Parts: sequence; C-alpha cells; structure tokens
Amino acid sequence: MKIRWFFHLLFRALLERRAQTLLIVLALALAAGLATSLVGLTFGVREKLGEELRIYGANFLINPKITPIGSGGIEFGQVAEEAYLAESRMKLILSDFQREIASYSFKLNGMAQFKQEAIPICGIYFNQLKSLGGGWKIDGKLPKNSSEVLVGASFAERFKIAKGDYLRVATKTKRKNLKVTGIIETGGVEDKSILMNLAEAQDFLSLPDKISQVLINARSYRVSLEALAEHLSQKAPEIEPKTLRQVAKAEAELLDKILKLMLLVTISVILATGIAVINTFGAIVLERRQEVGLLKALGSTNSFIGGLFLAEGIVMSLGSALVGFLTGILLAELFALSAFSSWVALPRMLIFVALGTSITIGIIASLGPVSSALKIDPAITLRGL
Amino acid sequence: MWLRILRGSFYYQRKFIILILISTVMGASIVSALLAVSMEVSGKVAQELRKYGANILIEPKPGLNYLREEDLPKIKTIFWRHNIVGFVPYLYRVVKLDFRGKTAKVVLVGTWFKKSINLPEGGVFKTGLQPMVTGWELKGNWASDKGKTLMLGSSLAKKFNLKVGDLVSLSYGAQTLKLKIVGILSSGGFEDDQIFVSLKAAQELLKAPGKISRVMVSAVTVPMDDFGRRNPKLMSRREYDKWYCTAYAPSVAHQIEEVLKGSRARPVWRIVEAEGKILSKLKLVIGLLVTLAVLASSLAVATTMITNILKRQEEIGLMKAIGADSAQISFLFLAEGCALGLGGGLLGYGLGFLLAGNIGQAVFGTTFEMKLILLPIALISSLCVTLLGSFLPLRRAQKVEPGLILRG
Repeated sequence: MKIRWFFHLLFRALLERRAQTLLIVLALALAAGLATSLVGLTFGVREKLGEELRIYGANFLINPKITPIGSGGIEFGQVAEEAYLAESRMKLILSDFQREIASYSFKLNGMAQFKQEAIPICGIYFNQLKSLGGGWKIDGKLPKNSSEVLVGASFAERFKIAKGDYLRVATKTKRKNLKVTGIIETGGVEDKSILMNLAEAQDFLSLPDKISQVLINARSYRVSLEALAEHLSQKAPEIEPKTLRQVAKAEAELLDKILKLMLLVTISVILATGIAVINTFGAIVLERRQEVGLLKALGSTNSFIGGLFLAEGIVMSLGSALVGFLTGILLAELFALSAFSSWVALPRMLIFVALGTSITIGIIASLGPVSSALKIDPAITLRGL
Repeated sequence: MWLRILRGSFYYQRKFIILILISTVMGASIVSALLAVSMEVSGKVAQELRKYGANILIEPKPGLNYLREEDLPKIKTIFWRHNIVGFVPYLYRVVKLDFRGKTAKVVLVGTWFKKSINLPEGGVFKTGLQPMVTGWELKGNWASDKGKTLMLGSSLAKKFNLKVGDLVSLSYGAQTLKLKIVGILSSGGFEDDQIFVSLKAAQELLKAPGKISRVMVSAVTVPMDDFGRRNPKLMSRREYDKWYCTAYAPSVAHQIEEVLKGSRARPVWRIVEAEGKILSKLKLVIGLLVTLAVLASSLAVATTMITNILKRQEEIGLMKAIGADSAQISFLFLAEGCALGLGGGLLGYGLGFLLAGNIGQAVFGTTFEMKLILLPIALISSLCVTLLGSFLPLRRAQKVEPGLILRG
C-alpha cells in the first residue's frame, strides 16, 4: 500500500509538473552530454593528434648494428667502411609491427663521382616520400623511370643544373646518364644530394638488396618507443633501433600539454554547467514547501518524503543520462569529423560518465532542498495556503 | 514604483537571485576565460612546436666554404628579430681520433654550447646548443665553451669503449689537440657518431679562425599559406612588402640572407610545413572546444533564467490581478535579466581572469593575458544569454490566468 502510494506520488509529481520536469531533464542531460563528449574527446584526441603529428616525419630509426665509424652525416662523404641492412629481411620484420608503425621508408646512402667531385647519392622509394616528413618542396616531377632523378637545391645551384638537364655520374664500376626531373628542397642533407629510386641506387652502387637505414614513423601515442626498440632488437639482433629523441620528446610534451588543456577546460565547463544545473534543480524543489507540508500533515514520515524526492531525482537523472549520453556521442563525433575529418573511437564506458555526472548532480542538487524541506513545520507552511 | 518592484523582487528572492547570479557568473567566467585562452593559445603552441628543432638553416653560398662567426649577432637585427628564439653555429670537418693507439676518422663539430652574445642594438642574447636541443640524453656534463673538454656521440663511445673522464687526442694535418671527455650524448640521429667541441677549439685545430660552416636558427614563424608559398621574385612591389613583413619562414630566411654576407638561408621544410599544419589543426580543435563550452554554459545559464520565471507564476498572477499588463511584466523580468546579466558578466570577467591564469600556468607555465576587449564581450554575451533565457518563458508568463493561479 505504502509502496503503491509512493510510486503514485512519484509519477504524479513528474507528470503534473511537465514543464519543470522537462527543464530539469534538459539541464541534467546538458551536463551529462557535455561530460560524455568532452571526456570522450579527451581520450580520442590523443590518438588523432598523435596521428597528425606524424607529419613531422620519422621519430625512430633502424641502423645496422655495426654503424660505420664516423658516419656522422652523409655530406662528409664515406668516412669509414659502410655497413648495410638487407632490404628483404627488414620488410619481413617490419610487417609484424603494423600496429606500432604508421609508415616507414628505406634509404640507401652512397657516393658517386660528378665533375671530379664526390656527391652523395640517396636511394629512396618515391612513393614512401610522405613518411619521411610532410615538407618536401619539389619543383618539377617525381622520377618515373630508371634513369630519372631528383637533385637537391644546393647541388643544383652550385652546378647550375635545371629541370630537364642530364648528369653524367659514375661509380667505380658503373657510369650513368641521368635526367633531372625535379629539384628538391628539404633544408636537410638531401639538398646536396642526388635522389634516385632505391632499386636503381642499389644497382648503380652495386649493392643489391642493401639499405643503409630505415626511417620509421612510429605511433608513439600507442606504444613506448623504448619497448618498440627492445622488441625489434629481439627479432633482429643485427639491427640497432634508435629513438630520434628530440622529435619523440617534443611530440610527447605537446600531446601532454594539449590533453591537459582539454582536461582543464572540460573540468571547468562541467563545473560551471553543473552549478547552473544544481541551481535550476534546487530552485524547483525549493518551491515545493507546500506540498511537503501537506504530505507531513497527512502523516508522512521524513524518510518517506526524503525517499520521494531522491527517487524523483534518480528517475530524472537516469532519463537525462540516456539523453545526455546520446547527444554527447553525437557531439564528440561531429567535433572529430570537423576537426580531423574522421570518426573517433569512443570507449563504451562513457555511459558511466554520463550516468555518474547526472546522478551526482541530481543527488547533490536535491540534498540541500530536501533537508530544508524536512525541517518544514506543516502548520506554518499550510497556513499560507 | 517600478524600480521598487525590481528592488523588492531582488530583496525578497535574494536566496534565489544569488543562485542565478552564481550561474551567470560561472557562465560568463567560462566564456571570457576560454576566449582569452583561444586568443593566445596559438602563440603558446607555436612556442611549444619550436621544440621540434631549428627551422632555418644557414649555409655558405654555393662556391664559398665558410661563414664568419663575427657576423652572427646581425641575425638579431633583422625585421623579425624578436621572433628569433635561438641560433647555433657549427664548424664541421673530418679529423683523426687517437685513443690508446687506436685511430679512426670521425666527424668533428665545433659549436657554442651556452653562449651569451652582446647584440649590436644593446642587450644580451642567450643561445647555444644546450638551450636549443631538448630531449637529447646526456651522460655526464655539457662541455664548456672555454675549457679543453669534449662531448661524444653514444655510438662512437660504444665502438671505442670510451668513457666520461677519458683523454683523447684529435688531429688534423699537423695540429693536435688533447681533450677530456665530459659527456656522452645520444640524440638518435647522426649526432651519435660525432664529436662535439667548443667552436673556438675546433677553429684552432682546423686553423680556421672565425669561420663556421653552418648555422641553425630557431624562429617563431606563421604557418605557410598560398601567398607565403609564392615566389617573391615574381611579386609586385606591394605584394613583396606584405610578404617581407609577414613572419613566414622563407621571408625570415630571406632577411637573414640580407644581413649575412655570402650566406644562403633556407627553411627546413619538414619542420616548417609540419608546424603550419599542426598549428592550424590545433587552432581548429581549440576553437571547436571553446565553441562547445561557450554554447553549453550559455544553455545552462538560460535554463536557470527559464526556471526563474517559471517558478514565479504566482507573482505574475498577482501582478496581473492588480492591473499590470503583459508589457509591464515582460519589462520587469527583462530588467531583472539585464541586471543579472551585467552583474554576472562583470564578476565573471574577474573570475575568468583567475581561471585563464591558472589554466595557462598549469599547462604552459605562463599565464594567459586577459585582454580588456574581453570585458565588453563578457558583458554583452552574458547579457544576451540572460535576456534570451528570460525572453523564452515570457510568452508562457503572458498567458498566465490570474484567477486560475491565485486560486491555489
């Protein structure tokens, strides 16, 4: 009997004050939705921004273990004996690391004679150019066939070479006539080199299946680079994996800062909306003094009335959590679509964030007014009716 | 009369009015703090992105072999001198390393580790390798610009089994230099196979007094756009001036070329392009975040205002019963909204000041400056929100039947 009466009162209260119920649900849903989307984004953005930061180029290198002494930059020429990795083997090993490695590119360095001078030759796959970093400025076209090459801007300036010119280049055993299809400017050592297709470079330098280095764009937001290095050296003892520390550190710090910024903004926004919602909620309960007085006059106990208000709050919170969760997810996806033009994977546990926010706010908001309602003296309150 | 009602409504409902005021203050503080953040965040992120390394490379013009060390302070005299946050000179050469009878050819690098230079226009500028490279791992200490010390790349150290404290001798031609290893560095790049000594020591050993072979410059630049990518040689006079006075990496590089004789300055495109793209992406992300936050806080404040009017139906009924018309009632509530909005906006601006400062301190270690322009923005936006929140339920208030409501 008492339980039926309780539910009767509960649903009447919700239905009779439709406008106010709706307002509270709306306000709670707003807070829950905001919390859902912002928390979801804070998780998702790490992955997305991490992916964006890959345009800074490689953050990880693989060298042969016996690095030639004094190979401190190819522009100094062949300082000592060279060491190489086997391309086919590296391809095989790297294929096991698709989750950790976003992209990679092979590189073969060597020297050739041009106009009685030793010039660095750099063999790469031109379709892997992107993984070397975003900003390669090419004036002209990428080489297509075996005798076509790119030349660095400093090199071109020094020897007055233009697009379409031919270069006569020689190694100890081979001689080649190469057509320049474009001039490349990177601000790095490539500016002084001749860039050719890796397969051509291997043939020209008589180093079949050899590469000097693998430049790797590792997903450092997903795996620690130290762990990746360890894993790689276990698989292939002949290699020396290395973290490019400056890039890796800058990346980690930037990600941390952006996430911290988002988190702080999220917390302050949730706090602000939470307070506004608590106020709305409180104001509505505050004005039900007369109802409380009446209930008391009819013989309800304090715990009955307290329970009623709490139940009201919880029912509304549950409804709001659902609405908030759905709108929050929608908001987060809209955000991801407009900022990164791709969907963001949101964790399922976000429903608990929505539930937690709306129930916490619901309970906090009803506590104050409920306790003051319980102090009501029915005679005084009802006199005014 | 009318003012008295307004005052009375504030006084008798003070508990409730305070609640509303808290909401508006919180809303306005969020709006002003986040606007302050979004106005300055790209500058702070741009600073942060400089940690990726130098973005301008200066080398001798093709055909020349060296630049002159004495010219370097001139880099801080260009139009965009305040954007130059650091530069380091390098002098490279392959030399012979001697250690306990073993010899090998290695790349020697002479550089400034930590240097204070006096600027031509007055003031001191601190720069050098140590402040410019973040993230290198170092065992031992940095070498000094004066003493007979050197730093060694980690791969090289491993190969030769060299340790901090060992003495090695470097020779070039007839010159020999005995130096003590004070640090072993690991960058992950080709630096791991190089030897670092002070620029002065390198110049002495190589008999190249005052000469350098390369300078790396770190400058805060604006992201490249279509205009920035155009060839300045093909621009009209006006376009060229605009290009010159915008802090694009190529225009900063061009200005450096102008002051350093015989130099060729080029942007490090990998860094420049990536920086531009990341910066515009982050701007978008933070802009969206701010929009979302501002919308949410406005909605929350508006709900509070709606509640305010909804819960005062009886008061409205009473006013109607004693002869107030809808316009007068609307006016009263809008005036209330105005007062709350302005009060909330003002207090919110103050609170936003604290919030922005704290966020800046926590994330970037420097505060966000609260521009005065944000005060009118905070006031107006807070006013709009409270008025909008009051406006919506007024239609309902106008429909109130005094008889029905007052009956109880």
